[in-house]
Amino acid sequence: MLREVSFSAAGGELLALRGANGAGKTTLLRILAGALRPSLGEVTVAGAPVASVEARRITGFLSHQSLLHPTLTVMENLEFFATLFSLPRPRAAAVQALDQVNGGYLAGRRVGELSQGMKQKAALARCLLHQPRLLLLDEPIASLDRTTVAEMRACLARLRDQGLTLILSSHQEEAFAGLTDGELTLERGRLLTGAYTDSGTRGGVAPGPAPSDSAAPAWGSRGPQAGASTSGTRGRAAQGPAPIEAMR
Amino acid sequence: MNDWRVFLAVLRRDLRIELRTREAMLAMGFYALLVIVIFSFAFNADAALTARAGGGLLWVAFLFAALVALDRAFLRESAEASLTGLQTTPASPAAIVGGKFASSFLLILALEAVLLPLFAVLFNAPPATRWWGVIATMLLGTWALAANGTYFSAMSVHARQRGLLLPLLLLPVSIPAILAMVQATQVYLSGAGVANYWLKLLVGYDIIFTLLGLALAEVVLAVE
Repeated sequence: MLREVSFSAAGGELLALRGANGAGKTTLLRILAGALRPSLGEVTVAGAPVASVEARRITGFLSHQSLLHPTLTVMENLEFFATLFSLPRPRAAAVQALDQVNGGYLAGRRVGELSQGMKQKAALARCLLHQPRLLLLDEPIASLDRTTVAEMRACLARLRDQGLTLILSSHQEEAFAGLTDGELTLERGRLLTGAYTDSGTRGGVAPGPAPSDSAAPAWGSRGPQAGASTSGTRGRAAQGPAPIEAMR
Repeated sequence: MNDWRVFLAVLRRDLRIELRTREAMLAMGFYALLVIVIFSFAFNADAALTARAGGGLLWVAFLFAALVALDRAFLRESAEASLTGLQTTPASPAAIVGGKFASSFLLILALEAVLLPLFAVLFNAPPATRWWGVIATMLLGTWALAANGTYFSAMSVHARQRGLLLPLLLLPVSIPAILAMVQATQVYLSGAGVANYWLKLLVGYDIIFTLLGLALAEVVLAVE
Protein backbone atom coordinates (compact mmCIF):
# COMPACT_ATOMS: atom_id res chain seq x y z
CA MET A 1 0.00 0.00 0.00
CA LEU A 2 1.27 3.43 -0.89
CA ARG A 3 0.74 6.43 1.38
CA GLU A 4 1.63 10.08 1.01
CA VAL A 5 3.70 9.56 -2.10
CA SER A 6 4.02 12.89 -3.81
CA PHE A 7 6.59 13.92 -6.36
CA SER A 8 7.03 15.43 -9.78
CA ALA A 9 9.44 14.74 -12.61
CA ALA A 10 10.37 16.87 -15.57
CA GLY A 11 11.15 15.98 -19.15
CA GLY A 12 14.61 14.60 -19.85
CA GLU A 13 15.17 13.20 -16.38
CA LEU A 14 15.95 9.70 -15.24
CA LEU A 15 14.73 9.07 -11.72
CA ALA A 16 15.70 5.93 -9.86
CA LEU A 17 13.13 4.36 -7.62
CA ARG A 18 14.77 2.75 -4.61
CA GLY A 19 13.47 0.57 -1.84
CA ALA A 20 13.50 -2.93 -0.42
CA ASN A 21 11.26 -5.68 -1.70
CA GLY A 22 7.68 -4.86 -0.85
CA ALA A 23 8.34 -1.14 -0.47
CA GLY A 24 5.83 -0.35 -3.18
CA LYS A 25 8.03 0.36 -6.20
CA THR A 26 6.19 -1.93 -8.59
CA THR A 27 2.83 -0.75 -7.26
CA LEU A 28 3.82 2.86 -7.88
CA LEU A 29 5.05 2.12 -11.39
CA ARG A 30 1.93 0.11 -12.22
CA ILE A 31 -0.25 2.96 -11.02
CA LEU A 32 1.72 5.39 -13.16
CA ALA A 33 1.37 3.03 -16.14
CA GLY A 34 -2.38 2.80 -15.67
CA ALA A 35 -2.33 -0.92 -14.89
CA LEU A 36 -3.49 -0.30 -11.31
CA ARG A 37 -5.90 2.25 -9.97
CA PRO A 38 -5.05 4.22 -6.85
CA SER A 39 -7.80 3.99 -4.25
CA LEU A 40 -7.17 7.59 -3.24
CA GLY A 41 -5.16 10.51 -4.48
CA GLU A 42 -4.31 11.93 -7.83
CA VAL A 43 -1.71 11.03 -10.42
CA THR A 44 -1.30 13.08 -13.53
CA VAL A 45 0.94 12.71 -16.54
CA ALA A 46 1.43 15.90 -18.52
CA GLY A 47 -1.61 17.29 -16.76
CA ALA A 48 -3.91 14.40 -17.63
CA PRO A 49 -5.18 11.86 -15.08
CA VAL A 50 -3.07 8.74 -15.32
CA ALA A 51 -6.01 6.52 -16.28
CA SER A 52 -7.00 8.79 -19.15
CA VAL A 53 -6.46 7.95 -22.80
CA GLU A 54 -4.27 11.06 -23.14
CA ALA A 55 -1.90 9.90 -20.40
CA ARG A 56 -1.69 6.37 -21.76
CA ARG A 57 -0.83 7.66 -25.20
CA ILE A 58 2.37 9.21 -23.87
CA THR A 59 3.40 6.55 -21.37
CA GLY A 60 5.43 3.42 -21.98
CA PHE A 61 5.84 0.60 -19.45
CA LEU A 62 8.73 -1.83 -19.51
CA SER A 63 8.66 -4.67 -17.02
CA HIS A 64 10.92 -7.66 -16.46
CA GLN A 65 8.23 -9.55 -18.37
CA SER A 66 7.86 -8.59 -22.01
CA LEU A 67 4.04 -8.18 -21.94
CA LEU A 68 4.14 -9.75 -25.42
CA HIS A 69 2.36 -12.96 -26.25
CA PRO A 70 4.89 -15.79 -26.57
CA THR A 71 2.99 -17.63 -29.32
CA LEU A 72 3.11 -14.69 -31.71
CA THR A 73 6.10 -13.29 -33.52
CA VAL A 74 7.64 -10.04 -32.42
CA MET A 75 6.23 -8.29 -35.50
CA GLU A 76 2.73 -9.66 -34.89
CA ASN A 77 2.88 -8.49 -31.31
CA LEU A 78 4.14 -5.03 -32.22
CA GLU A 79 1.55 -4.59 -34.97
CA PHE A 80 -1.13 -5.59 -32.51
CA PHE A 81 0.01 -3.05 -29.93
CA ALA A 82 0.38 -0.39 -32.61
CA THR A 83 -3.28 -0.94 -33.48
CA LEU A 84 -4.22 -0.66 -29.81
CA PHE A 85 -2.40 2.67 -29.71
CA SER A 86 -4.40 3.74 -32.80
CA LEU A 87 -1.27 4.29 -34.86
CA PRO A 88 -2.22 4.83 -38.50
CA ARG A 89 0.32 2.41 -40.01
CA PRO A 90 0.93 -0.38 -37.50
CA ARG A 91 3.49 -2.28 -39.56
CA ALA A 92 5.54 0.80 -40.34
CA ALA A 93 5.46 1.80 -36.67
CA ALA A 94 6.56 -1.70 -35.67
CA VAL A 95 9.44 -1.70 -38.14
CA GLN A 96 10.52 1.73 -36.95
CA ALA A 97 10.39 0.71 -33.28
CA LEU A 98 12.45 -2.40 -33.97
CA ASP A 99 14.99 -0.31 -35.85
CA GLN A 100 15.27 1.98 -32.86
CA VAL A 101 16.48 -0.89 -30.70
CA ASN A 102 18.46 -2.50 -33.51
CA GLY A 103 16.09 -5.44 -33.29
CA GLY A 104 15.02 -5.80 -36.91
CA TYR A 105 16.31 -9.36 -36.95
CA LEU A 106 13.75 -10.29 -34.27
CA ALA A 107 10.71 -9.40 -36.36
CA GLY A 108 9.82 -12.88 -37.59
CA ARG A 109 10.76 -14.77 -34.44
CA ARG A 110 8.26 -15.94 -31.89
CA VAL A 111 8.59 -14.26 -28.52
CA GLY A 112 8.51 -17.60 -26.71
CA GLU A 113 11.66 -18.69 -28.52
CA LEU A 114 13.70 -15.62 -27.62
CA SER A 115 16.35 -15.27 -24.94
CA GLN A 116 15.59 -12.94 -22.04
CA GLY A 117 17.77 -10.22 -23.54
CA MET A 118 16.04 -10.47 -26.91
CA LYS A 119 12.66 -10.38 -25.21
CA GLN A 120 13.60 -7.18 -23.41
CA LYS A 121 14.72 -5.69 -26.70
CA ALA A 122 11.36 -6.56 -28.24
CA ALA A 123 9.60 -5.25 -25.14
CA LEU A 124 11.48 -1.98 -25.39
CA ALA A 125 10.42 -1.71 -29.03
CA ARG A 126 6.83 -2.17 -27.84
CA CYS A 127 7.31 0.69 -25.38
CA LEU A 128 8.68 2.98 -28.07
CA LEU A 129 6.00 2.20 -30.69
CA HIS A 130 3.89 5.21 -29.83
CA GLN A 131 6.79 7.55 -29.09
CA PRO A 132 6.07 8.04 -25.41
CA ARG A 133 7.19 11.00 -23.32
CA LEU A 134 7.31 9.03 -20.10
CA LEU A 135 8.97 5.63 -19.84
CA LEU A 136 8.46 3.52 -16.73
CA LEU A 137 10.91 0.69 -16.15
CA ASP A 138 10.26 -1.98 -13.56
CA GLU A 139 13.33 -4.15 -13.08
CA PRO A 140 14.22 -3.90 -16.76
CA ILE A 141 17.55 -5.69 -16.40
CA ALA A 142 16.56 -8.55 -14.12
CA SER A 143 18.06 -11.79 -15.47
CA LEU A 144 20.02 -10.03 -18.22
CA ASP A 145 23.69 -10.64 -18.90
CA ARG A 146 26.27 -7.87 -18.56
CA THR A 147 26.46 -7.12 -22.26
CA THR A 148 22.72 -6.70 -22.52
CA VAL A 149 22.69 -4.57 -19.38
CA ALA A 150 25.28 -2.29 -20.96
CA GLU A 151 23.16 -2.02 -24.09
CA MET A 152 20.10 -1.22 -22.03
CA ARG A 153 22.00 1.43 -20.10
CA ALA A 154 23.19 3.08 -23.30
CA CYS A 155 19.70 2.95 -24.71
CA LEU A 156 18.19 4.61 -21.66
CA ALA A 157 20.82 7.33 -21.78
CA ARG A 158 19.91 8.07 -25.38
CA LEU A 159 16.23 8.17 -24.63
CA ARG A 160 16.83 10.54 -21.77
CA ASP A 161 18.97 12.72 -24.01
CA GLN A 162 16.09 12.90 -26.43
CA GLY A 163 13.91 14.37 -23.71
CA LEU A 164 12.02 11.38 -22.37
CA THR A 165 11.30 11.22 -18.68
CA LEU A 166 12.35 7.87 -17.27
CA ILE A 167 11.48 6.36 -13.91
CA LEU A 168 13.44 3.25 -13.16
CA SER A 169 13.21 0.64 -10.47
CA SER A 170 16.10 -1.81 -10.23
CA HIS A 171 17.85 -3.77 -7.54
CA GLN A 172 21.02 -3.63 -9.61
CA GLU A 173 21.70 0.01 -8.75
CA GLU A 174 25.33 -0.15 -9.83
CA ALA A 175 24.27 -0.81 -13.42
CA PHE A 176 22.85 2.68 -13.67
CA ALA A 177 25.42 4.48 -11.55
CA GLY A 178 26.13 7.96 -12.87
CA LEU A 179 23.13 7.89 -15.17
CA THR A 180 20.35 8.91 -12.84
CA ASP A 181 19.40 12.49 -12.15
CA GLY A 182 17.70 11.81 -8.87
CA GLU A 183 16.22 9.13 -6.75
CA LEU A 184 13.04 8.42 -4.91
CA THR A 185 13.26 6.08 -1.95
CA LEU A 186 10.23 4.18 -0.81
CA GLU A 187 9.89 2.40 2.49
CA ARG A 188 6.77 0.43 3.30
CA GLY A 189 4.77 2.48 0.87
CA ARG A 190 5.99 5.89 1.99
CA LEU A 191 8.30 8.18 0.11
CA LEU A 192 11.37 8.81 2.26
CA THR A 193 13.55 10.93 0.00
CA GLY A 194 13.33 12.61 -3.31
CA ALA A 195 16.81 14.02 -3.67
CA TYR A 196 18.69 14.75 -6.84
CA THR A 197 22.09 13.24 -7.23
CA ASP A 198 23.83 16.04 -9.09
CA SER A 199 25.94 13.43 -10.71
CA GLY A 200 26.89 15.65 -13.60
CA THR A 201 26.91 12.78 -16.02
CA ARG A 202 24.12 13.94 -18.20
CA GLY A 203 24.56 14.40 -21.84
CA GLY A 204 25.79 11.72 -24.14
CA VAL A 205 25.92 8.09 -23.35
CA ALA A 206 27.68 7.54 -20.12
CA PRO A 207 29.93 4.51 -20.15
CA GLY A 208 28.36 1.68 -18.28
CA PRO A 209 29.84 -1.19 -16.36
CA ALA A 210 30.09 -3.22 -19.50
CA PRO A 211 32.59 -5.98 -19.89
CA SER A 212 35.49 -5.20 -22.13
CA ASP A 213 34.32 -7.67 -24.73
CA SER A 214 31.02 -5.94 -25.22
CA ALA A 215 30.53 -4.43 -28.58
CA ALA A 216 29.38 -0.91 -29.06
CA PRO A 217 25.96 -0.60 -27.50
CA ALA A 218 23.50 -1.84 -30.03
CA TRP A 219 20.38 -0.55 -28.39
CA GLY A 220 19.24 2.94 -28.57
CA SER A 221 16.96 5.30 -30.23
CA ARG A 222 17.94 6.83 -33.46
CA GLY A 223 16.51 9.84 -35.00
CA PRO A 224 14.26 12.42 -33.51
CA GLN A 225 11.16 10.28 -33.80
CA ALA A 226 12.30 7.92 -31.11
CA GLY A 227 12.52 10.35 -28.30
CA ALA A 228 9.93 12.28 -26.52
CA SER A 229 8.13 15.19 -27.86
CA THR A 230 8.83 16.97 -24.63
CA SER A 231 9.86 20.39 -25.62
CA GLY A 232 11.82 21.31 -22.55
CA THR A 233 15.52 21.03 -22.39
CA ARG A 234 16.96 18.65 -19.90
CA GLY A 235 18.12 19.47 -16.46
CA ARG A 236 16.55 21.03 -13.47
CA ALA A 237 17.78 24.47 -14.37
CA ALA A 238 15.71 24.48 -17.51
CA GLN A 239 12.94 22.03 -17.09
CA GLY A 240 10.39 21.17 -19.70
CA PRO A 241 6.78 20.54 -18.89
CA ALA A 242 6.50 18.16 -15.98
CA PRO A 243 5.22 14.86 -17.29
CA ILE A 244 4.40 13.43 -13.88
CA GLU A 245 2.85 15.81 -11.53
CA ALA A 246 1.76 14.46 -8.25
CA MET A 247 0.41 11.66 -6.25
CA ARG A 248 -0.92 11.76 -2.75
CA MET B 1 -13.65 3.51 -35.99
CA ASN B 2 -10.68 2.95 -33.72
CA ASP B 3 -12.77 0.74 -31.48
CA TRP B 4 -13.61 -1.44 -34.48
CA ARG B 5 -9.93 -1.70 -35.37
CA VAL B 6 -9.11 -2.72 -31.81
CA PHE B 7 -12.03 -5.18 -31.76
CA LEU B 8 -10.85 -6.81 -34.98
CA ALA B 9 -7.21 -6.80 -33.88
CA VAL B 10 -8.06 -8.61 -30.62
CA LEU B 11 -10.30 -11.08 -32.45
CA ARG B 12 -7.67 -11.82 -35.09
CA ARG B 13 -4.93 -12.17 -32.51
CA ASP B 14 -6.89 -14.54 -30.28
CA LEU B 15 -7.89 -16.75 -33.20
CA ARG B 16 -4.31 -16.77 -34.46
CA ILE B 17 -3.04 -17.83 -31.04
CA GLU B 18 -5.67 -20.54 -30.84
CA LEU B 19 -4.88 -21.83 -34.32
CA ARG B 20 -1.21 -22.09 -33.37
CA THR B 21 -1.61 -23.65 -29.95
CA ARG B 22 -4.98 -25.44 -30.41
CA GLU B 23 -5.16 -25.53 -26.62
CA ALA B 24 -8.82 -24.64 -26.21
CA MET B 25 -10.03 -26.49 -29.31
CA LEU B 26 -8.38 -29.76 -28.33
CA ALA B 27 -9.51 -29.62 -24.72
CA MET B 28 -13.10 -28.61 -25.46
CA GLY B 29 -13.40 -30.91 -28.47
CA PHE B 30 -12.18 -33.91 -26.53
CA TYR B 31 -14.47 -33.15 -23.62
CA ALA B 32 -17.59 -32.57 -25.69
CA LEU B 33 -16.93 -35.63 -27.82
CA LEU B 34 -16.53 -37.76 -24.72
CA VAL B 35 -19.83 -36.55 -23.26
CA ILE B 36 -21.78 -37.19 -26.47
CA VAL B 37 -20.30 -40.63 -27.04
CA ILE B 38 -20.79 -41.74 -23.42
CA PHE B 39 -24.38 -40.48 -23.41
CA SER B 40 -25.06 -42.32 -26.66
CA PHE B 41 -23.72 -45.54 -25.08
CA ALA B 42 -25.60 -45.01 -21.85
CA PHE B 43 -29.00 -44.19 -23.28
CA ASN B 44 -28.95 -46.43 -26.33
CA ALA B 45 -30.51 -43.44 -27.97
CA ASP B 46 -33.36 -43.71 -30.40
CA ALA B 47 -35.48 -41.06 -32.02
CA ALA B 48 -38.07 -41.11 -29.23
CA LEU B 49 -35.49 -40.52 -26.51
CA THR B 50 -33.80 -37.77 -28.51
CA ALA B 51 -37.16 -36.08 -29.01
CA ARG B 52 -37.73 -36.24 -25.23
CA ALA B 53 -34.29 -35.46 -23.81
CA GLY B 54 -31.94 -34.60 -26.67
CA GLY B 55 -31.91 -30.89 -25.89
CA GLY B 56 -30.56 -31.45 -22.41
CA LEU B 57 -27.95 -33.98 -23.54
CA LEU B 58 -26.73 -31.73 -26.31
CA TRP B 59 -26.38 -28.68 -24.11
CA VAL B 60 -24.54 -30.57 -21.37
CA ALA B 61 -21.82 -31.27 -23.93
CA PHE B 62 -21.86 -27.73 -25.35
CA LEU B 63 -21.97 -26.04 -21.97
CA PHE B 64 -18.95 -27.78 -20.50
CA ALA B 65 -17.00 -27.38 -23.72
CA ALA B 66 -17.83 -23.67 -23.59
CA LEU B 67 -16.51 -23.47 -20.03
CA VAL B 68 -13.16 -24.77 -21.24
CA ALA B 69 -12.99 -22.18 -24.04
CA LEU B 70 -14.08 -19.33 -21.80
CA ASP B 71 -11.59 -20.25 -19.11
CA ARG B 72 -8.83 -19.84 -21.68
CA ALA B 73 -10.09 -16.51 -23.01
CA PHE B 74 -8.14 -14.51 -20.44
CA LEU B 75 -5.88 -17.26 -19.19
CA ARG B 76 -3.89 -16.98 -22.40
CA GLU B 77 -3.08 -13.41 -21.37
CA SER B 78 -1.22 -14.58 -18.29
CA ALA B 79 1.78 -15.65 -20.36
CA GLU B 80 4.44 -12.92 -20.14
CA ALA B 81 1.82 -10.81 -18.33
CA SER B 82 0.34 -9.77 -21.65
CA LEU B 83 -2.86 -8.70 -19.89
CA THR B 84 -0.87 -5.88 -18.29
CA GLY B 85 0.19 -4.90 -21.80
CA LEU B 86 -3.46 -4.60 -22.79
CA GLN B 87 -4.32 -2.65 -19.65
CA THR B 88 -1.68 -0.01 -20.27
CA THR B 89 -2.81 0.89 -23.78
CA PRO B 90 -5.34 3.63 -24.53
CA ALA B 91 -7.58 1.14 -26.33
CA SER B 92 -11.20 0.99 -25.28
CA PRO B 93 -11.74 -1.80 -22.72
CA ALA B 94 -15.11 -2.52 -24.34
CA ALA B 95 -13.38 -3.14 -27.68
CA ILE B 96 -10.84 -5.46 -26.03
CA VAL B 97 -13.49 -7.43 -24.14
CA GLY B 98 -15.67 -7.41 -27.27
CA GLY B 99 -12.85 -8.94 -29.31
CA LYS B 100 -12.33 -11.59 -26.65
CA PHE B 101 -16.04 -12.35 -26.64
CA ALA B 102 -16.11 -12.67 -30.42
CA SER B 103 -13.17 -15.07 -30.50
CA SER B 104 -14.69 -17.27 -27.80
CA PHE B 105 -18.06 -17.19 -29.56
CA LEU B 106 -16.54 -18.29 -32.86
CA LEU B 107 -14.45 -21.03 -31.25
CA ILE B 108 -17.42 -22.52 -29.41
CA LEU B 109 -19.57 -22.21 -32.50
CA ALA B 110 -16.97 -23.98 -34.65
CA LEU B 111 -16.93 -26.88 -32.21
CA GLU B 112 -20.71 -27.04 -32.12
CA ALA B 113 -20.84 -27.07 -35.91
CA VAL B 114 -18.70 -30.20 -35.88
CA LEU B 115 -20.50 -31.90 -33.02
CA LEU B 116 -24.08 -31.29 -34.11
CA PRO B 117 -23.97 -33.70 -37.09
CA LEU B 118 -22.27 -36.27 -34.88
CA PHE B 119 -25.02 -35.85 -32.31
CA ALA B 120 -27.66 -36.27 -35.03
CA VAL B 121 -26.08 -39.55 -36.10
CA LEU B 122 -25.35 -41.03 -32.68
CA PHE B 123 -28.71 -40.05 -31.22
CA ASN B 124 -30.83 -40.93 -34.25
CA ALA B 125 -32.31 -37.48 -34.50
CA PRO B 126 -36.03 -37.64 -35.33
CA PRO B 127 -36.88 -36.98 -38.99
CA ALA B 128 -39.23 -34.22 -37.89
CA THR B 129 -36.36 -32.24 -36.40
CA ARG B 130 -36.40 -28.61 -37.47
CA TRP B 131 -32.71 -28.02 -37.88
CA TRP B 132 -33.00 -24.32 -38.59
CA GLY B 133 -34.54 -23.93 -35.13
CA VAL B 134 -31.80 -25.98 -33.50
CA ILE B 135 -29.14 -23.90 -35.25
CA ALA B 136 -30.84 -20.62 -34.31
CA THR B 137 -30.98 -21.76 -30.69
CA MET B 138 -27.35 -22.79 -30.88
CA LEU B 139 -26.34 -19.33 -32.13
CA LEU B 140 -28.33 -17.44 -29.52
CA GLY B 141 -27.40 -19.79 -26.68
CA THR B 142 -23.72 -19.73 -27.51
CA TRP B 143 -23.87 -15.93 -27.69
CA ALA B 144 -25.33 -15.87 -24.17
CA LEU B 145 -22.66 -18.18 -22.77
CA ALA B 146 -19.82 -16.34 -24.52
CA ALA B 147 -21.06 -12.89 -23.42
CA ASN B 148 -21.33 -13.83 -19.76
CA GLY B 149 -18.38 -16.17 -19.82
CA THR B 150 -15.95 -13.62 -21.24
CA TYR B 151 -16.94 -11.18 -18.55
CA PHE B 152 -16.52 -13.68 -15.72
CA SER B 153 -13.35 -15.07 -17.27
CA ALA B 154 -11.78 -11.62 -17.01
CA MET B 155 -12.96 -11.30 -13.42
CA SER B 156 -11.62 -14.65 -12.32
CA VAL B 157 -8.34 -14.76 -14.23
CA HIS B 158 -6.25 -13.70 -11.21
CA ALA B 159 -8.06 -15.95 -8.74
CA ARG B 160 -6.28 -19.00 -7.37
CA GLN B 161 -9.36 -21.18 -7.76
CA ARG B 162 -10.04 -19.83 -11.22
CA GLY B 163 -11.21 -23.16 -12.61
CA LEU B 164 -13.83 -23.40 -9.88
CA LEU B 165 -14.75 -19.73 -9.76
CA LEU B 166 -15.70 -19.38 -13.41
CA PRO B 167 -18.50 -21.99 -13.40
CA LEU B 168 -19.61 -20.81 -9.96
CA LEU B 169 -20.06 -17.30 -11.28
CA LEU B 170 -21.25 -18.14 -14.77
CA LEU B 171 -23.77 -20.92 -14.31
CA PRO B 172 -26.17 -19.28 -11.82
CA VAL B 173 -26.34 -16.11 -13.92
CA SER B 174 -26.87 -18.22 -17.05
CA ILE B 175 -29.77 -20.27 -15.70
CA PRO B 176 -32.47 -18.35 -17.63
CA ALA B 177 -30.46 -18.72 -20.83
CA ILE B 178 -29.73 -22.40 -20.20
CA LEU B 179 -33.42 -23.05 -19.57
CA ALA B 180 -34.32 -21.31 -22.82
CA MET B 181 -31.62 -23.13 -24.82
CA VAL B 182 -32.66 -26.56 -23.58
CA GLN B 183 -36.38 -25.94 -24.00
CA ALA B 184 -36.07 -24.43 -27.47
CA THR B 185 -33.74 -27.19 -28.67
CA GLN B 186 -36.16 -29.76 -27.30
CA VAL B 187 -39.08 -28.21 -29.16
CA TYR B 188 -37.17 -28.21 -32.46
CA LEU B 189 -35.72 -31.71 -32.01
CA SER B 190 -39.20 -33.14 -31.42
CA GLY B 191 -40.66 -31.15 -34.29
CA ALA B 192 -43.39 -30.06 -31.91
CA GLY B 193 -43.70 -26.55 -33.20
CA VAL B 194 -41.88 -23.26 -32.97
CA ALA B 195 -40.19 -22.13 -29.76
CA ASN B 196 -40.81 -18.43 -30.23
CA TYR B 197 -41.14 -17.73 -26.55
CA TRP B 198 -37.81 -19.30 -25.68
CA LEU B 199 -36.02 -17.70 -28.63
CA LYS B 200 -37.34 -14.28 -27.65
CA LEU B 201 -36.16 -14.88 -24.11
CA LEU B 202 -32.69 -15.73 -25.46
CA VAL B 203 -32.61 -12.64 -27.68
CA GLY B 204 -33.54 -10.41 -24.73
CA TYR B 205 -31.00 -12.13 -22.50
CA ASP B 206 -28.27 -11.73 -25.13
CA ILE B 207 -28.95 -8.03 -25.60
CA ILE B 208 -29.02 -7.24 -21.89
CA PHE B 209 -25.92 -9.19 -20.95
CA THR B 210 -23.90 -8.11 -23.98
CA LEU B 211 -24.54 -4.44 -23.20
CA LEU B 212 -23.90 -5.01 -19.50
CA GLY B 213 -20.60 -6.75 -20.24
CA LEU B 214 -19.43 -3.97 -22.52
CA ALA B 215 -20.48 -1.28 -20.04
CA LEU B 216 -18.55 -2.98 -17.25
CA ALA B 217 -15.54 -3.91 -19.41
CA GLU B 218 -13.32 -1.24 -17.88
CA VAL B 219 -14.06 -2.52 -14.38
CA VAL B 220 -13.38 -6.18 -15.16
CA LEU B 221 -10.18 -5.45 -17.03
CA ALA B 222 -8.89 -3.55 -14.00
CA VAL B 223 -9.61 -6.40 -11.56
CA GLU B 224 -6.41 -7.55 -9.87
